[in-house]
Parts: sequence; structure tokens; C-alpha cells
Amino acid sequence: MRRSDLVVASIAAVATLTLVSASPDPAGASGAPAGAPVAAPSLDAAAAKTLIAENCATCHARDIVDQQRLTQAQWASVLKKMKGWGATIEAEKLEPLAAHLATARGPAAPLPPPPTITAAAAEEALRPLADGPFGGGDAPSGKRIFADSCSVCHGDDAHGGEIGTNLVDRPLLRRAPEFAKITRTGKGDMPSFELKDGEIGSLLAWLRKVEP
Amino acid sequence: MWRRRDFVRAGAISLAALALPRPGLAEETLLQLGEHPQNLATPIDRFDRLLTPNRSFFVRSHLGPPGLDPDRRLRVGGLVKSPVELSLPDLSRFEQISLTCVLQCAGNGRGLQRPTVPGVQWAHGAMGQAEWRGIRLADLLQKAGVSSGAAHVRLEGADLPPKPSVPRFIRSLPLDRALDRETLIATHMNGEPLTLAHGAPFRLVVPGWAGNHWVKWVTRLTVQEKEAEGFYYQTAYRIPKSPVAPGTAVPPDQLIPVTTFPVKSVIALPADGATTRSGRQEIAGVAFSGEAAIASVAVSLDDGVTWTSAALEGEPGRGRWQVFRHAFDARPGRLRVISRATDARGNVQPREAVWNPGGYFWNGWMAVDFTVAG
Repeated sequence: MRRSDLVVASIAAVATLTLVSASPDPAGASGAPAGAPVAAPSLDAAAAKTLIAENCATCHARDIVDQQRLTQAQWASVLKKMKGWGATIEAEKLEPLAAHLATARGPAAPLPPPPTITAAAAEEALRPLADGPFGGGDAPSGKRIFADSCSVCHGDDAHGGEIGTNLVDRPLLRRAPEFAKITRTGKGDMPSFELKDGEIGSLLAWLRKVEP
Repeated sequence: MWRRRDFVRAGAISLAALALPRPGLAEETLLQLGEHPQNLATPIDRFDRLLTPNRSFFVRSHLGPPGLDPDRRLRVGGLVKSPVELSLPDLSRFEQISLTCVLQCAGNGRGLQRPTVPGVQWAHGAMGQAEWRGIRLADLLQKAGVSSGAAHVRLEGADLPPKPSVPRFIRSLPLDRALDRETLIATHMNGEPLTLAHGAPFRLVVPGWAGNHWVKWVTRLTVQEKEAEGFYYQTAYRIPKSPVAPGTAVPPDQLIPVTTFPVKSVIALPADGATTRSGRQEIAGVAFSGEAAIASVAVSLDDGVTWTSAALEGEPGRGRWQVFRHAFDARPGRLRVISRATDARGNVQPREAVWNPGGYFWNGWMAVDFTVAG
């Protein structure tokens, strides 16, 4: 893939995101009990799951969503706050999503206990890893690669844009193998980029120098 | 009388503790309420001791940590005579202070509040006690020289938001609290250097005050006339000036910042739902108050009709927990134990916590149901 193709791919991904459309619930299959107040059009569970994955999981895992037990008004308020903070969800999807969440995760829905993890697993998620083949990168080259392939989503200064998240001063920059994997396989809405080891090393070299 | 379902709710999440190995030799664990950013609760059975192990100490993150940077600088500026910039080795040249106190998230217990409110649904696990070591913030401010007109110290951590449109986590401390002899810039926790999840290389320690003031990865202190700007000071972490009926919407001008956490006790052992052997039983837990030392902890085995004083372990102190224990002989059958703490200012842990829209400072009586086997 050439650089220009990467840019095109990134822009296409942006376009896809803004076109994401949850299909209305045609047969009232959302599982709402009879008589429950449900805004129309409603969302089915699959459409809601997609909306959450594409609009919420960019910044935080969905477990924080799953543990809430809120009324429709509370859900609407939370979604409005997140939209204000830059969640990419379209405005007309907010109320249907709030209605769905109030049905699936209303105040009366049972809340299962949180999963238990080992301290080692929690520490591993933040632990610096050896650079391996991604060491010794060239920061000026990394700056060019970033401008060509990454800045459209992550912002010119890598502090995050409308779609991509901040990449400056993050533990991920000291976890080169994970950084490389995300770059090459994509993550969530992020497309994959076919970059050589040295190019990924150069990206890291530049990102580590960007002022917070 | 407290309703049965309140007891059940209060104990529901502690059921998870049943499946855990006993502390000690076993691998330390945490309850994962947020995978990323990390929000991890301490299992309730760890609250039977004075110091919470670092590896199972709860983690609260709004934005997630910055990179691990041992060379990170701490800058002091604003209304000061001479701005200061310090590295970790520079801090070691100040007098080193150690103190033991509770770190508790303001939202600890939010998941027990009814009606429910948004936020991390903590049960009891967003608290822990550690021996913190570092330097007095007052010594640092003295070095910089506080100028006239100063009233607050703005606290800025190095953690950046995921997008520029998300507010940064910015807090402030009133100057008198910043100058308190026990307010620290800490570098160590239970004798070990802070880990990244706990704020490395330095964080605030504000004994008796909720965790939102204990800013992690602190990198810039600004002495200023006004309190902090932005969402995490002006909107979040606020409670009604006076109690409201549960579920009430409260206008912003009726909200004030959360500061000192109220008196509270939590039962660690036995676990809710446990089956114990007949004969001698031991109830164990912790009790603390942000305002004052703990004066007493009482335990009831008859839904609060009669109370017995529990034995206390550890040094009393403001914002410091003591372990309470109560041993008794029990006949086979089902038992419910309730604990109630009182602090040295006479504040008594209430049967029901005061509901508030942020779900802060839940401190109602905790009940544990268990069965004594025949």
C-alpha cells in the first residue's frame, strides 16, 4: 500500500464512521415490556452494540457502559455529555440509544459482580516492553509517516482529533510490539497500515519526542 | 427497621469475594470495573488489616496514565516569589515524611446507592490504607514563597485526555489544606516506589480528603487566587449543600465540592454468604473518618437492637483506619452482623447514607449474612 493509498483508506474510514447507521427496530423486537416508554425509532440490541463499539470504545472499554443501571433520562444525559466530549455518534442516534439502554440496563436490571483479575494481569497492561525490531527509529522520518498516514485521525500534533485518540505521552509508546500490532491490524474503527519494522520504529521515535 | 433488600443489595457484590483465595501466599487479585482506563477494586476480604497490599490496592483512572517517566518534572508556579522545578532526585533533598492513612475514592459505594446514579459502580472496594512517604507540600510551597492574594493550589497531572475535546483532570486544594503539615507529595507507598497505576513518579496525599484531591502523576502546581476551572472541579465531585430526597435533581448553585469523607466501617470477614464452623466466630473489618480519629466501633447481631463494642487495632488518627475485631461463640444457624463506627468528634455512621446525585460518600451500615454450620 502506498502512502497516498493510506491517506485514502483513512479518509474512507472517516467517511464510513460518519455514515454508520443503526437500522430501526422494524418489529418492536427490542424486548421492551408492554407499556414501557420507548422512543421511536428504537434500536435493536445488535445495532446498539455496534453504536457503542464504534462510538464509545474509542476512549473507554464498554464495561463502564455495561455496569450502569439508569433511567432513560439519565442515559440521555450521559450520552449528551459524551457527545459534548467528542463522541462521534450522530445526534439523531442519541435518543434511540438512550431508549435502548434504559430497557436493557434500566434501574431494575440485575447487575452481575465484576470479573476478578490477577494483579499481574493489571500490571501487564501498563508494563513497558522491549523495543525489539522497532528500536532505533528515525524521528524525522516518523514525523513524515505520521503526517501522511496518521494525522488525519489523530491530529497534526498527535494529541487526538475528532476520531483518533491522543498518542502523546502514553504507556503504549513504551510498548512497541503492541503499538506495531495495532498499527498493522487496526483497532476498532482504525484501519490497518502496512508499515515496515523500521517505519514503525520511526513513528515511535517521533511520538516519544512530541511535547505533551 | 432496615429493609431486608437493602441488606441484600449492600452485600451483593461482596459475594464475588467468596471465590477468592485467602490472602497471604495466594496471588493478589482485583475486581475489574474498568479494563481501560483501569478502574480496579480491592477485594473486600483485604479489609481485615491495617495496610492494604500494593498489588491489590484499588486503582481509579479518569483518563488513564501518562507514560512511565522517571525524569518527569514537578513545577511550582503562579503566585509565588520564585518558581520551582524539581525532579525525583530533587525531592529526596527535602525532609522525608511518612504517614499512614486511607485513600478512598469519593464514589466508593456508589453502586449501593438507590436510586442508581451514573459513574463507576463501586461497592466497597475503592478504598485502601497505605504508609505514604514523600515531602510536605508546605515545604515545597515555602521554597517557592507564596505571594499575597494566593488562596488555592491548582493541581495538574500529566495524564492527557483521549481527545482534545475531553476535559483534563484538574483539581485544586484550598491553600490552608495545601499547607497542612500532613499534605504530601508522595513518592512511595508501603515502602515501595509508586507504580505507574498509582501515580509514579509523584502524587498528592491529602489525609481525610477524598481521592479526587490525591492527583496522580502531578506535574504542575499553580498557586492562584481562584479554585480550579473545568469539569472535574466545577461540575463533578460536588454534593448538595444540604441533604435532598433520594432521586432529586439538584441545581448546580446548590452543590459544593466534596472534601472530607464521613465516618464509615466496612466488614471484611466473614464474607457475605459464607458458611463458618460452629464455636468461636470472629468479625473483622476497618473503620475510619476523614474528620477525626475513630473513637469506637460497635457490632450488632440482632439488626441493630443491641450493640457490643469491638476491639480496635492500630494507631488512631484523622483519615486513618483501625481494624476492629469482635469474637463470640455462636450456635449453628443463620446470622447477620452489622457494624457502626463513631469518630472522636461524635459523628456516628448512619443506618442509611445520604443520597446525592453523584453517588459520593456512601457510608451506610453494612450487613453481612452468614451461616454457622452445625
